[in-house]
Amino acid sequence: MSPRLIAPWLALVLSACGSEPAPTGDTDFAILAQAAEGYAQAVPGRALAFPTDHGAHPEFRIEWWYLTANLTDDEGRAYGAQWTLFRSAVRPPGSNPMRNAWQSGQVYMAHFALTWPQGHRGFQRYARGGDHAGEAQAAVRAQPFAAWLDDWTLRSSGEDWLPLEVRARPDEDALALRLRSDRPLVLQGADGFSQKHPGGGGSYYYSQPFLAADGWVEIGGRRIAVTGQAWLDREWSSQFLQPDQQGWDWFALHLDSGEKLMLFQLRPMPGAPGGAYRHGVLIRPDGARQELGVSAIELEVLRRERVAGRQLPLAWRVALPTLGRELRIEALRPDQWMNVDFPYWEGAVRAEGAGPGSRGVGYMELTGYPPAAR
Amino acid sequence: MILRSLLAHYRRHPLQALFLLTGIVVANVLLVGTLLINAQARASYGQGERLLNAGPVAWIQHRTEGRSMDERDYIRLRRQGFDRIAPVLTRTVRAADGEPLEILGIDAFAFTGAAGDSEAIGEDGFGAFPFPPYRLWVAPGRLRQLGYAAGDRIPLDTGATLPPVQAVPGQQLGHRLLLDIGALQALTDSAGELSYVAVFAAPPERIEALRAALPEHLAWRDRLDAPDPAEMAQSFHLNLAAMGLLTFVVGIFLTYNALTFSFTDRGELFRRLRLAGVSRGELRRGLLLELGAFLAVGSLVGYWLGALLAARLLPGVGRTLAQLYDVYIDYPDTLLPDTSWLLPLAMTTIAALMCIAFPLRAALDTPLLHRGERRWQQRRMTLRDRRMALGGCALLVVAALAGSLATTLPLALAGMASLLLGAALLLPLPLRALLRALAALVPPQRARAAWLIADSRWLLGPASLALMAMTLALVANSGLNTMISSFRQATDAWLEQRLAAQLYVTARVDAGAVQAWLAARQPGARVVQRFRRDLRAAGPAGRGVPLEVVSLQAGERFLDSVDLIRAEPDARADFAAGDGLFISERAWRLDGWTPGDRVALCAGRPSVPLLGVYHDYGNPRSQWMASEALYRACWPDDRPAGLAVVGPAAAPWGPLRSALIAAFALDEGAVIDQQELKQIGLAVFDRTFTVTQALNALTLLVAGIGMFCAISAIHHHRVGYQALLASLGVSRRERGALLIAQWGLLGLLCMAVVWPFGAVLAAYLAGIVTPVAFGWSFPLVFAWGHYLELAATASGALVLAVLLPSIRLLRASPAALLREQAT
Repeated sequence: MSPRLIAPWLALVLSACGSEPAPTGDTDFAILAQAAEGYAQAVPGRALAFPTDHGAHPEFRIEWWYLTANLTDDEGRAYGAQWTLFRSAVRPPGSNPMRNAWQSGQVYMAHFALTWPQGHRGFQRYARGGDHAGEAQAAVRAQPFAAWLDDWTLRSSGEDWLPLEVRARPDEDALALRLRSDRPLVLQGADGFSQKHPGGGGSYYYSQPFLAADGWVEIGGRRIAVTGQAWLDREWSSQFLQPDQQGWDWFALHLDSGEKLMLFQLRPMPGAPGGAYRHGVLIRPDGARQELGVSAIELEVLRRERVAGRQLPLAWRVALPTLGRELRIEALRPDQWMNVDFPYWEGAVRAEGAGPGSRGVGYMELTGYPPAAR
Repeated sequence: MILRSLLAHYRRHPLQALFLLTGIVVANVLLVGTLLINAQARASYGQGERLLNAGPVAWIQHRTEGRSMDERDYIRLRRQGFDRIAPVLTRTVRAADGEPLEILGIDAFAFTGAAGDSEAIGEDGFGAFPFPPYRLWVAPGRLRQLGYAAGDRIPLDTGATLPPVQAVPGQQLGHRLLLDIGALQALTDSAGELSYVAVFAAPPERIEALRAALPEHLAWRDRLDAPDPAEMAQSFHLNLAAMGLLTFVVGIFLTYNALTFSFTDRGELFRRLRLAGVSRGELRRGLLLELGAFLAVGSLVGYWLGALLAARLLPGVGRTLAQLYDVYIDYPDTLLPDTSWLLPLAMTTIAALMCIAFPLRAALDTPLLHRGERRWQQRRMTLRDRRMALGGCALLVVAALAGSLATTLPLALAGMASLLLGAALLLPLPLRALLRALAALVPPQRARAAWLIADSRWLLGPASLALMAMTLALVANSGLNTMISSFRQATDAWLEQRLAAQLYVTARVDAGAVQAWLAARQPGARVVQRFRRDLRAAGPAGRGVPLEVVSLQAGERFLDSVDLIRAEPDARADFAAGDGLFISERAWRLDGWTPGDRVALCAGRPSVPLLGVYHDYGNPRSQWMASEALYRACWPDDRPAGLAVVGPAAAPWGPLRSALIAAFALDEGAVIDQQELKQIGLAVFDRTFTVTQALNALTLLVAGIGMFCAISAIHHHRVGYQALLASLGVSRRERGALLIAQWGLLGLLCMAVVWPFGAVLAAYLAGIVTPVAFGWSFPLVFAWGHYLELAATASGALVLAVLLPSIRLLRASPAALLREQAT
């Protein structure tokens, strides 16, 4: 499970729908815990159904299609790409009369970023959902799958779910990848229900972590052929975080052993009782999953760097004692900062360690770090 | 030393200092105010059309100007990757009190991305703006003008209410209100429609790609091709500046008046100083320095008041500009500091120097010995009056010439200024003549009356300038009032005639369906369609002229509703046959088309002659009118802009209207009856002239203040006379009556000048200035009632101005008065 980036965005959308003004501070993610009356709730025991569940679930408050890719060019230089589409319901469907497409109550936000050996650029776009008599600026269709906001699209190449194609082009930068896999989807948590609270609340969550990518990136108008590995996360729910959580550190790694490792910790607010909540899962090449609990994960910050006025932990030591592994995770570049309305750090990382099960590439996400005094 | 003894005078007579300051302040206030307003408007125009704080570089709209575009065209462009674009819907709704509200509907999400930098929407972002219950963004100035507070919901004439108001400073909203596009579409029943798509700055190749990607039915309008609002609204700003200049002149008269009195009063002091060895040069320097000090203080106060005034009037100006020209200016909370602030200072300084020249020379040239002083002064006064009368005559000749030749507004305004000044300068001469005539009428045994008149003639000398200032303001006031009331009557009559149908339907309803519905309910009632479209035609002067083309419904009734002020032979018959067009007065006067010219109405049809000219009051755009058949032949695909229902006058139109609304599920405001439409037209007219009327009232106020100052000064001067009268045994009551009678007489005599000149000025405004400025002419209707009102106001101001300073005079004992005179 990954709370990912929905929190700041939700703050924007929810504050706009008539509740209190948005807490815009980086550390205030309390909005994620807001009550969700009128929305559908994620409950265990509902079997996910495909292709229907590839599409949007407007009756749930929040949802995302989250793709990250670790890529290399012909000369082995490392690149990274992030393509994300978030959907949020401003109000429960049917709770307000809708007299035109602009009043659909569905808002989409897309983030797109490229990392290359010399730099990083991030972009965002917003659009309302809503069917303008056959045209939509942003929408997600289940079959054949297509998710888009303007010309930023992630979609099935044909009638089947796989292979996928992803495209985005803001100004001089662009991305075009084909994503293939012969592995099935991975249902996270209990058959796709991922519990987030001791009381039972949670989200529906599945991943497609074994995607082989090939295509090109365009940086400042220069096109570069790339290949690599990609990871797609799908999640939807109506409620996520606890009010006393400050932010999170999240890792999704493609290990050289062919395994996939996902880890995260939710950091409590300063002064809140208890320590960080940690969770992880190791996915074997055959799709078998091994859950990692709080005690099975050790996280240690090795180095902090000042980025965008914040002290960010850009090098980590990760120890998984039950698996006998230790990884040293390091950001590819410190400047993979997403300077969007609600800024965060998201970028390509490299993992080093003893043996192929402790080495690899991946993506790291750091949220909720307040600007620091120099 | 010299300056100190000079200024000591004002310490003893602070009122005189106050009057001098008042003159300078009055000269500055409206001049500064109108200059600031104009500068602010120009700054708004200079920035071009803005959406919040971002300026689009171009607009995409339907190829047919004025027609909505399908929002799917916008979505398709978005899907092609053009992200520096944002959809806009503009609609005008009417508040329950009749105020038109121009609302811009935008998509906050698209706007945030397209405008590029988030500064455009400020730190707080859009907040609750894009979601139910939505927010209506209003500039604070506009909100005050509308009379609502933040959080209020403005009720509309349709019975609906707008979303809660949010005051948004610093976003350059100006006159317009901002609403979410979905909310505005729902409110105005225009789902799927956009007025235009705003294009924001992007790399040139992206802009080129966007232009190339436009489908055939969409047009690209570059910011550089947009009509220049500054040019459109030039007339209005010139008129405003003219009002400012008028009060400037009034203020200068008052300054001159105050200076003359203070110099005359100090004649003795000057003589003593000179006898004590002060050279003429030193005295001149001292007096100029003194004037400089007054100028500095007076200008400072004048500027401050002017800026205050400008801030108060700006929303009204914005409303007028919106209604006259569809031009929207910003209402900032603080006015721009502009280089134009130097102008009033320079003007006041130069004028004050000219003012001081005459009394200064008189003071310096006064013989050092007493002998013959009185006669010398008398001679000077007579000479001055004669010179002024000559100057006045010359100015009247200039006015007549300018009036007959005026083809441009500056020339027309120069003529008007000459007329006003000429009237003022001429004043003393007819006043003297009138008094002489009165004196001849009074039988010799009525000594007191004879004295009163003789004394009034003497009074003319010192008081003439104050009277001139008042006359100037009164002439301007009466002229403007007559002009506005004539214009209003003309508009009223014109609306009465033009509104030939009983009901007007503004919603999109199928004409056939309404006709079928009517046939069952009200046989004899007929539905007619009204068409309109925007066009750019090559004008006679060779440049493109934006204009609107409207259709005139077939039938005698409609044809007769158009009153032609110029017509070719058989104009109506030819028009009905589709063989020609009528043009609006503006197209004739300002764009230069004349009946008899031939124009091409649309491509692929032979050119047609212009057959006649009709009044089109209140329309800031030129218009062509074609018969419905001709219009439909040119543009067969146009949808009607509205429907009208005509029928026998005796039919029950009220119930019919309600039934029509119910039958077609229309909004309450979508069907308007004749009388209501007329009321709306007149309400808009009245609002358009609010600013002019406010300024007009201010000039009257200024005249009152001037009168008050001048009479106070004169009375101070006439302490000796009061003392003399008192010692002769004239009771206080009688002296009071005499005073009032005297000034009342002068006031009435002034009105005798104000009436004819006011009428001439009104004729000048109606016949020359307005046609040149706006392209509208109208017959002059004299509102006699207003003249009485004006006379009463003026007399009231006079009496008040006489009484207040006189109370002190009347109360004082003769001995005290004589003592004061001696000092």
